[in-house]
Amino acid sequence: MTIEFMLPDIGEGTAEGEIVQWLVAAGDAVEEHQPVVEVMTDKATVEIPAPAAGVVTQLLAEAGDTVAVGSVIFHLEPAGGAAPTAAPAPAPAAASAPDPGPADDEAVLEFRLPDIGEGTAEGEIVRWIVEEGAEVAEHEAVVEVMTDKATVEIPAPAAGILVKQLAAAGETVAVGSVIFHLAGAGAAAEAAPSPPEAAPVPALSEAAPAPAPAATPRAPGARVLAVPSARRVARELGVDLALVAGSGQNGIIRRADVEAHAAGAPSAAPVAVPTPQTVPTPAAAAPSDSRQRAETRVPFRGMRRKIAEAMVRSKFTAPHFTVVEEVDVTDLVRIRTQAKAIGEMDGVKVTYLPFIMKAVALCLERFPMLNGRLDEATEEIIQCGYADLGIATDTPNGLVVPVIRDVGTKSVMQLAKELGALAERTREGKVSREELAGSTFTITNAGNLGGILATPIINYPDIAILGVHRLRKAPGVVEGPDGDRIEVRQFMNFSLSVDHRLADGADGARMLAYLRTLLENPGLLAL
Amino acid sequence: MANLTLLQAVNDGLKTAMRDDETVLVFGEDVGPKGGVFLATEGLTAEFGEERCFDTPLSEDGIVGTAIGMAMYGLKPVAEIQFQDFIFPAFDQIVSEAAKLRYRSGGQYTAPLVIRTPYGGGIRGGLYHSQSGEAYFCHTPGLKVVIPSTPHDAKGLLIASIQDPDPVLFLEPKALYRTVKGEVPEESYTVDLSTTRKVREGDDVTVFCYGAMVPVCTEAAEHAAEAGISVEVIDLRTLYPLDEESVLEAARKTGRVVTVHEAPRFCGYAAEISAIIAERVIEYMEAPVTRVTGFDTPFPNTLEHNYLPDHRRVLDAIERVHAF
Amino acid sequence: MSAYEMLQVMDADGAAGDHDPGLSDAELQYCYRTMLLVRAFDDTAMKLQRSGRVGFSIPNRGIEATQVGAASALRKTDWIFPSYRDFGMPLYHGVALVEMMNNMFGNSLDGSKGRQMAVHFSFKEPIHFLSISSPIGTHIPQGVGVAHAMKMKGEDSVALISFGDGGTSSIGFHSGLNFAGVWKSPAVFLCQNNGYAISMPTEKQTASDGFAVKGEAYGVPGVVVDGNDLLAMRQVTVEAVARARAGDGPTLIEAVTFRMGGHSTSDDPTRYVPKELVEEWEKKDPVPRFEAFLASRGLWKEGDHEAIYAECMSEVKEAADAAQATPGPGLETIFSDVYAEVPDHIRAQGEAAFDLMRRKGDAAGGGGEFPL
Repeated sequence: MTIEFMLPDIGEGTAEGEIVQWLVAAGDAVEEHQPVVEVMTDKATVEIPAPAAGVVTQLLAEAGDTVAVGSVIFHLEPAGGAAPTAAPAPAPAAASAPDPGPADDEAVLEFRLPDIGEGTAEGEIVRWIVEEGAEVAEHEAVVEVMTDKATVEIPAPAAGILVKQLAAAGETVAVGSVIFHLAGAGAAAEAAPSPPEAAPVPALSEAAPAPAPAATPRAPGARVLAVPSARRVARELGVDLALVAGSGQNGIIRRADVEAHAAGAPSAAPVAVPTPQTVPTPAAAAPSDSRQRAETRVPFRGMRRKIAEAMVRSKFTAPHFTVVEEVDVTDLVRIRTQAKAIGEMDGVKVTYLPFIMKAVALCLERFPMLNGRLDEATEEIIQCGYADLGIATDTPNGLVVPVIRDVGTKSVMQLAKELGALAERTREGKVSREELAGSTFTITNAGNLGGILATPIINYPDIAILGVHRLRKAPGVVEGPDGDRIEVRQFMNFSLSVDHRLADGADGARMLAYLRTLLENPGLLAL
Repeated sequence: MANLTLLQAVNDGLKTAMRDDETVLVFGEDVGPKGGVFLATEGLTAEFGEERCFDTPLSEDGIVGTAIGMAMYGLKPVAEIQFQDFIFPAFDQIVSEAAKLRYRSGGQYTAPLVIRTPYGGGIRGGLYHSQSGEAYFCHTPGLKVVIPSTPHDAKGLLIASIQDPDPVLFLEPKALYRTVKGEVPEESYTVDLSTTRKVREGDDVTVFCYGAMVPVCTEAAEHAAEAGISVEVIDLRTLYPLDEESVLEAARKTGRVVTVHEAPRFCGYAAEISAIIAERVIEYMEAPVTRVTGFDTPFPNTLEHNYLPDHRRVLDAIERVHAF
Repeated sequence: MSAYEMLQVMDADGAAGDHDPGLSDAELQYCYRTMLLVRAFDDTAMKLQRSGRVGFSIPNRGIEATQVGAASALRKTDWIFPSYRDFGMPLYHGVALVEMMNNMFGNSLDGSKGRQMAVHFSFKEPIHFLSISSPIGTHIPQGVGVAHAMKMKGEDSVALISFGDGGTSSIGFHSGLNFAGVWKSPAVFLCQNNGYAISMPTEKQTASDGFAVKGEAYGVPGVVVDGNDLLAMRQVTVEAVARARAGDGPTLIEAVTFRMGGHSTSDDPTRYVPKELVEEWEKKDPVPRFEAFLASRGLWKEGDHEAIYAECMSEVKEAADAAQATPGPGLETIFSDVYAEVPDHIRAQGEAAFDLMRRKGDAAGGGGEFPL
């Protein structure tokens, strides 16, 4: 291979040289180190020797020419195999290099374990739900982590490929440490909320910026993040930063966001891509029912308020905390089959939903802290003693969430009947505005989205939402008098998302455990 | 007008100053008949004789110490330290003596001297021919620190430094000695110390730089322009005392700041720029006040090109602050 | 020159009478071969630099006898604090050519991981040869410190501290000599008076009457020796080393020699060294002088020079080719060895550098030109 010989920097920092004379002619054979050309710089006149033995095939400058350092001045055809090979460029990733990340060139999202319960410092990896190399959808559960508060599923903040798990099952990791790498996290939101005590302005790592920022959920306990110019403009325009959605990384408010807010335009930031369950329904007046329906009003003060102060109110950005439970519904299936037959006699369609609603209402009696909503005006969390359940429903006109009142006072069959009537009215578009408002808790059907887990988005300003996943058959362990055996069982998963500002994850976990108890022993629903 | 390299402009500046003022002396190692290892002092001994341009023994502390003495006595010494990497034996004389003489004597004694020295990387000089030590000296009240990046500025700032009544450390970016050419007036002229130079006008991002980083930042700005980002590039020129107002104005203009230097990051000069901005115009910042610097390691030889900030790295920072 | 008499063993024609060099025939031939090896390495290194294959070199031509003669007096447990013009010392003590070439090329096998300029060697074995830094004289007090530690530990090792005429003006020379004198350190100071410090002739470097005399100011005995006389160099160094080992303190040796090449590959000596001076010293070339001596002992004949030199050149070429074919150091070498452990801030900078390389490719300009 022809060597294209470039004029080297002969003395520290010379930039050019003048060809004084060629000491060989084109076509001449030369030895390694044999002088080929005499070059004059302002430091010295030197002879440039051949870098290898071979034949000088071409002279590319003439005597008297001034050539720049680095320009090719002659071609040399090295003698067979005699030329020492030039060293290849240094390989970027040698043995001791830090983890190079994904093979492709996309930015890798370093997902950090968030503070799942107020002030948890660490969590134990229970199990990885997504394998390395697998694709994940936004909000899809990636890993199950146990803290001293609860076992939770951590969802992916964006769609992508889980390229690396950075902790093993059984390992305890600190909040804030990177637990997985997500590649190709493109247009969607940045990493999940950072730990509350992190510096308010996210550290500027050298990763590429997220191309299309979306408003991201703020971390529990985080202050309002705003760039300094946004603060100044907010002050000048009299804008409350807590009301502004941030379009920057990690939800930071930019100046443009404040200006847009002041101008009355919708926030420049697109909302986190809503799942079908998300329909912001402002809290409406309580239904005018003459019955005394108990409510407990908890002052929204102190720690709760402090946390919430930082939150955006106009759009949904509540921090979610999802607990997931897998329920063996084999017995429920049997009972529902019986109930379905009975219902058909009355022209009532009986699905699983009335059973679930009933179970949920019973749960909410025990866990009223999950049953209710935030009243911003009075700065109170309303914990309800009655269960008005919103049922997220897909219609030709889009998603609506009609509400069934006082579920706890109704039987399964009554609920089934009411559901049927409501569904029909909803499909025909005849459901009233009052029927669409005032849920204390929402149930959503996540089963048709595929997968067995999700993190449903809370129906703001509710405290919680329950997602119901598809019924499926799977092997299960059944305990018997002769020991354990494997049987084909029926399962249904439930994902309970809780607004962590307003209730504890531990309560969510407990409620879900109770729900499971009820649904696995459906006879209890009659109590 | 002449079209000169930065090195030739230094040489021209010395000649011009020496012609105009016979108290101006030049001395150091190899500056006499050899004309300096970079040829910065070529021709001076021939024109002005050995009394005015001469070689010294191999002793930086002696060079600066005697320069202080000469300056005290009414001469205008322009001492050369062969490479900034070798200045440290003279650190005591510079920091404890030259910089503090006026202050401690109530003005009875002063040291109007200039120390010229090539600094910075880019010539494969390894650990000891590539250092950027400007931060050590900017941390020294009483001293002035000047860094030209163009031939025009080199001559004008040098003459201004020679005329300045205070001690000036004149750092010459050796990487630019022969690679930058420009128009230089033939007569004597000065470029005021403590003024910055706007290299490029822009509205989206402000880049502060000096020395050999100026062409690097200019190239990054051109690439940024192709991507639709308008970058203002400011050459700081005199690092100390700094023209703070022009820095604040340029920072405030865009709210997105990147400061670039070769020297290591921690306690580097960019930290001072960032602090000034944070104190005075934080409310106009749209993004983190960012630095692109050499790493906090000694200066490597083979991997020099990875160590020095190049236009990729500067452009990356520009993109980041722009998108924040 | 010096008020001291310049010691010689061989005359200009290599005759040494009955002098017993304290070396066997094989050892004498080894000395000779090493001189040729220095010359071959030096010649090759210059050509490598001129053809752009290495970035820098420092001519050693003419200094072979000084280097090899002095080195021959040392044990492997002694420490060498070299100047940057001392190729012969590591070569004499068995440092492999390819190790030196790895440094010249700054590749991934270089002991210094490509961090230093060429010729700034660092070796720990087969002998300690302290990592060379460019500032002049800084190693002198360090050598005194090592010598002091050797003495404190009760070992009879010595530190050989080598520097040029210019080095005697440095601040380190004054401190080092002074401390060594007061502490009676087992140090041997070798001043290679080779006529020039870059372009500065010795008469501009000092008003002292030579360099050995400077030791007197510090209570350190001095001796002047013909640096191109290998046997004289050896003798003087052997004596100084013996003094040091015996606990009698340091010696300052002034070796009078001549730098036949320039200061470095960035220097053109023809601009300031009179041609006549060079020609005068050509006649005092230490190699033919030693050949004459060897011949007088029946250890050398016509044709040996060419044959041995050709072998040396071939070995050097092999080492150069191997070094050139070795890839450069990995990016991570910028970030390691700053401290014993990598602190967080440096680790973060390293990760960012790798990340940038992944996203935007490598920095340009790996070939020595300024990357813009």
